[in-house]
Amino acid sequence: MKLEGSHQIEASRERVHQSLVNPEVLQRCIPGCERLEETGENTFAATIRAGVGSIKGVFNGTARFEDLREPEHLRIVVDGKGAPGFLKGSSDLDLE
Amino acid sequence: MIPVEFDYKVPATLDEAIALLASDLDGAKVLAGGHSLIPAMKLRLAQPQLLVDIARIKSLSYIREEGDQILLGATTTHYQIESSDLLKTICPLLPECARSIGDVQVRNKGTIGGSVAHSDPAGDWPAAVLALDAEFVLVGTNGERTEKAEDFFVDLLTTSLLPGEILREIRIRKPSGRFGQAYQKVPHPASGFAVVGVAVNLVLNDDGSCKSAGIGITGVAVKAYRAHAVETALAGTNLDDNAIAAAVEHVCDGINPNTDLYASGDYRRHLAKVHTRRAIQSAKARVQ
Amino acid sequence: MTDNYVGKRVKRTEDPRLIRGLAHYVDDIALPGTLHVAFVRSYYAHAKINSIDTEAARSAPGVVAVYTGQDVSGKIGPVPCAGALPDLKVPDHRVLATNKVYFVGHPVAAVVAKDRYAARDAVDLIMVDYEELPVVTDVEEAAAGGPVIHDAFSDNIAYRLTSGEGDIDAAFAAADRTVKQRVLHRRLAPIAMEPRGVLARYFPGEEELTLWSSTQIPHLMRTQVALMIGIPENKLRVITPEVGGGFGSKLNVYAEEALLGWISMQLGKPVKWIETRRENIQATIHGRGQVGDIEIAFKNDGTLTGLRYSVFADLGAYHQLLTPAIPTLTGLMLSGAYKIPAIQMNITACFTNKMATDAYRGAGRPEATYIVERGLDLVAAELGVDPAEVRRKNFPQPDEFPFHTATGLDYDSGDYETALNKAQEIAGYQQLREEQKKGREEGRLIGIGVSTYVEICALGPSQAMPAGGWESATVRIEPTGKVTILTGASPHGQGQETSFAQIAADELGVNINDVTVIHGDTGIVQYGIGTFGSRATAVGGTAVFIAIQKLKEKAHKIATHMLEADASRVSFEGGKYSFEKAAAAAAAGTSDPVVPVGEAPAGALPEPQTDGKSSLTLQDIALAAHVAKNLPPDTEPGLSATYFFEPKNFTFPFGTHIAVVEVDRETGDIKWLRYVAVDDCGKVINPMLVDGQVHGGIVQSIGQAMYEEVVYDEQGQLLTGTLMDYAVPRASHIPNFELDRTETPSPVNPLGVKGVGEAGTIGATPAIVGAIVDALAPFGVQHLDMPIKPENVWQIINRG
Repeated sequence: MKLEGSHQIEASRERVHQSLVNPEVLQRCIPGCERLEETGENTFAATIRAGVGSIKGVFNGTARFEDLREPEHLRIVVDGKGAPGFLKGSSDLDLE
Repeated sequence: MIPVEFDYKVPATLDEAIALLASDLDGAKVLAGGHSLIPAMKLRLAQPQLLVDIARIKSLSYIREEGDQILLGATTTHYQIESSDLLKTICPLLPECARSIGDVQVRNKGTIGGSVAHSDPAGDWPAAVLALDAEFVLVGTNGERTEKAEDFFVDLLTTSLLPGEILREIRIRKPSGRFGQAYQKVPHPASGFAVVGVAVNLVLNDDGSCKSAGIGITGVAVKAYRAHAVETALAGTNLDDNAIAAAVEHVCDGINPNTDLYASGDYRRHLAKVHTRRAIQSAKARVQ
Repeated sequence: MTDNYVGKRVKRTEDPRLIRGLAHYVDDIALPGTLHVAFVRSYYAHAKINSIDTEAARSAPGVVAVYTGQDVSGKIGPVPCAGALPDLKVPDHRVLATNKVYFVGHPVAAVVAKDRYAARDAVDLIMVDYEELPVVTDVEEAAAGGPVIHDAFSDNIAYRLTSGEGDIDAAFAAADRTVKQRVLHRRLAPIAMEPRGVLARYFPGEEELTLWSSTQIPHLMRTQVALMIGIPENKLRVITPEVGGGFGSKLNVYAEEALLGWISMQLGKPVKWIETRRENIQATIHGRGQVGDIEIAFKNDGTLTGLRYSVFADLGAYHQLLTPAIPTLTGLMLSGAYKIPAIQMNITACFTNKMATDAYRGAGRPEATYIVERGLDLVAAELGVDPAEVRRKNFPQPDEFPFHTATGLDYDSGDYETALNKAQEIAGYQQLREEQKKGREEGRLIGIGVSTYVEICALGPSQAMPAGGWESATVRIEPTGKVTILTGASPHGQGQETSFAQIAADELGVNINDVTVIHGDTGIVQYGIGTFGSRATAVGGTAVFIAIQKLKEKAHKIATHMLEADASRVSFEGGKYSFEKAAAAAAAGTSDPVVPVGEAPAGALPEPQTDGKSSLTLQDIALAAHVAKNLPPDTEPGLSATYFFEPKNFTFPFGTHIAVVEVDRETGDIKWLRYVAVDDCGKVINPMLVDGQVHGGIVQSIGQAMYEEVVYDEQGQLLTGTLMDYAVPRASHIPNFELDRTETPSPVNPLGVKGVGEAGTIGATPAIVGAIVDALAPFGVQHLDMPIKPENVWQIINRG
């Protein structure tokens, strides 16, 4: 699945970038993210409850930052395993 | 292909069903025909803890003409709609759409309410109920409310049903005047679902020009949708080939058509235009 | 033969029980105390297994045992591969993954529980710690380098092979023209209606193991599994109950068969595993999987001078029984129905992170026919001649058979031109071409495809087969005159219970209802090779036929003795041995009481009444042979004969298929107009069975040509994992078939039978693709790869 979109946020790029790399904020930004604990530099243990309609599952795994270029870009890579299988995704965020 | 263990209850009345759902808002799921839910359960993609079987609540299954309304009970099966002489006369889009669903066995179990509540992006019913501007009656512990079809289908496999609510009736304004209807579908060769499905409810003025058109499209986007741009473009025209051809160019306005293993987004867009055109022409030819 | 049954559309004796739901498939066999097995399978295409946590599963309700690769490695031998090729790399593939997984679906652990629900639930409790490894899915990339799948090897190339005869370079150098085309054979899933299943029951006291398995090769599988799990072969009994289709996918020895047998021995209880459809698509062998270039050299007048095929074969991650051998079968049939003096095939066979490929209806030969036929179409297009004519020009003539090909084969018999003419006549070929021309002027896109195929089957001479190519039969006449046939063939839908009974009934002059054909039980039937490669009737039926001749020789001897006659004056007809003493008998006033076959005499077996008789029924003889009071000297009692038939050659069925389609300019939809097939499978025992085989074969061809494709993504994830995505043709997808036949007997066996099980699948795909390509000829299209979907067609029409 590929999702694309853009959002307007009333704040400076620096402020948005710094917020996003803060795990407490980031956790609230990832839908279904029940747990995000820092385990190393730019790496986190994550529990994500994901689903569409009646198809739901809980995935345990990692989230990490890549390609951090403050204030314009970051990538979040997620990798989790759960009963329904596994979940892998990456999100490229460009702040303009 | 074995589901996770679940509880199974058969309420005798709708009120009982609602109470059961309320007892476990997160883990309870309504079961009607089961042909969307049970495959998901067998693949363990859905793991409800409690199935509330409403298929046996006789009062939820009916096809009625009341005044200027057609009322369909939510657990009316596809087959019942397909074979209804009443509907063949007063709203043939419904039997035509029903007949295109799955196969004989599926049509004997699947229900219009279940199909609509599941909101499969390639399901047939959503296109038809959108074209007919249907209204849904939803019931929960907080009582009843109605929702227009277009507001009901929110996203991929997601509707505006609140946890604990059951869709109990589908209301359709009886087509009147000079109307013609058609359902065109390109079935996926494996699943039988709509690669593209177009439902058209066309109403003409006395002079043969287009008074209004309801056009529901499925299979193309994350959910079924009304092709308003096409409807607007058709209104007032004399529905000649050029007018129709020009109108259907807009069938995917604002939509990013799905790409999957079977068909690309570009091809879907093309099929949507072709089959919307064919559906409009077919509906027009059927106007009395 | 009395010709009462052979050649007639006799209804199948198998059908009443199948239609009424009274047959027994593996899952219908219920043994008390059966435990159920469910598998944990990898969802990564390539990964190291760091650890497997089975604690929660072991203590889950109803779970009796959990096994992982660690538990069984060293105790169960590797899954066997019978393909022997020079320098073939054979990975050590075990029944459960040991240190890594290398395809999605690779079994990692087995849960044994008191019912299938508990087993399935416990699967979800097993946590495997995988460490992903890079994945290689493209066969050409695998050949060029890429991550190496098997640590024991330095690359992913399982083998390279060059085959063929004639001076290929000279052929191309001398040619007036050449054509070249890249051709894809995408992977297919055989999708037998019944997935696999195994029930194993060990009796610890008797130390006997019985395996019920949905297989095509009970005896071969018995030998292999006995070796794998270390049980004496004569303590292992394999039974094939009803099998719901195989198509080659059950011509194999699978991990689950050995593992279930071993588990039953460990636990002393019956254990059962029934494959789900998802498992079936993941972990039952796939068919096809070739990508290569065909080049044909020819003269300006259309005479073919040479053919070269350079191909990458996608074997999958490891070898099942015949995985590496399948592409070599392609090489054998690259001469097609034509005289081609020089042929060369170059195979680079590679490992990829996908399920193993192996035999699927046609097993390498559909690929060959497809390549050659597409090539002939290109030749015809290049020369501007009708595709049927360029084919006709290159046929060997009937008097040139046995016809030696530059692939090293001797085609047994053939009359390709008669089949072509017949097909063209039925189709109204000239008229079709005229309609097509007229249609094109009106903007209609009608296409006509022609395939003149020949295929190799009735496998085969044992020299050329990995584990024997003969077939066995025992034919017995019981004391009451009933006929019992034990065949080493293993029909799984083909209908030999009926067709062998037809042969026996005619040969023995008995009622077909008095003949029983038994197969698929190694405890009852003598060793046999099994059913695959369209061999059951040509090889198995011949064994039955010859066994019956031996039986008749003995019966004749007994009859002669009992009739006290001169052997040369005793003849057999209508189920009776008669002596020309009619005049004397009439004079003596004796009548010839005949005990009708089928009626057992009431009470104790009577003495055969032969005094004064001038004829004896076969039943009389059978009874006498068992009661044994009046047998000729040096004659064993009993009336049975066993024969192991070793064929001297393969057989080569052939035919012409003509497909006619019309393409919708707007949507690319492909509509069927006509389908004509004239097939020659030699002598026909039961035309209804032959028609059924052709129908089924054509439908699977339609599947390959237009609908089916196993798709893995670059991560090796199987995207077509259920029948919601993998499109097997429905009734609404197929045309009416107009079938006919020619009958060119095979000299290879006394029945004259060639075999037909795979012919439809081999002959049809090129006709179908040829028709679609022909429809798009106005757009300059020369070739399209399968499956050809409406979108592919639309793109061509749209851009052109």
